[in-house]
Amino acid sequence: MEWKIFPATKENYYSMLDYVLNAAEESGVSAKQQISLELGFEEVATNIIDYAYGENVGEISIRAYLDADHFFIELKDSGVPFNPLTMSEAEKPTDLESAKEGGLGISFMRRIFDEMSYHFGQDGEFFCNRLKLGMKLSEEPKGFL
Amino acid sequence: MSSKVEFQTSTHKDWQIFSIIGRVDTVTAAEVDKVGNEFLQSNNNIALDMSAMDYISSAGLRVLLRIAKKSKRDKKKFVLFGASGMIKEVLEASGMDMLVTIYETQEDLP
Repeated sequence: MEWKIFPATKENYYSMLDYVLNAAEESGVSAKQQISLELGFEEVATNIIDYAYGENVGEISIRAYLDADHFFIELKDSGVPFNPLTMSEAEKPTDLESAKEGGLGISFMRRIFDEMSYHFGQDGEFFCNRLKLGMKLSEEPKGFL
Repeated sequence: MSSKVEFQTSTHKDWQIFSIIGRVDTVTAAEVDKVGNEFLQSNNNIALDMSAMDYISSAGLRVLLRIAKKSKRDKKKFVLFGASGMIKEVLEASGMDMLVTIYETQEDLP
């Protein structure tokens, strides 16, 4: 399975998304589960785009594929080491004043992907963040999240 | 690529309706933030129409949350209507449905 490489910029986000959703479509992922995938992918791709390289433009490598009953997305970047899986989830807000903006993304990811792993280590000549996310395919998903 | 998000404004009863058509994601969130805040500045009874919204992510929810907070600080009314499918589910999962009044349809606005 080959990696597809994109500049890690917001301008390239829709190209990355198209790549993932085309692979999902070809793998027979339902339209409904493609929306879930998109929600989850947006969280991780945006984290890398916004934070991995600071002011510099780096690269993001992506591959997306079916393996048995799971659709997997893998992402690789050589930016600052960051494990999104350790982020704390937002608590459900009780009133508008105290509602926080952060923590929603990771709670969405945990609902969408039932397999998530993170690894930081040497990959060729660079050290890389590697994230692997798996979504179980379902004939009748309960919802999007 | 055609624009991923568009806006329409209208009125219904005492409400000024702000319709977001298309996607509110990491790419369009900044534009929604800008146009939404401009609308907020010049209106007092704001109903956000989500009936033609196709997709909203956590980036989009953060924009809505900021607009809702600002409305409250400015003592303005801010409600939502027309959410269905993934939009409705994302609002519920985030707890946004407990913070802002949500009506089913435009006709349900008081």
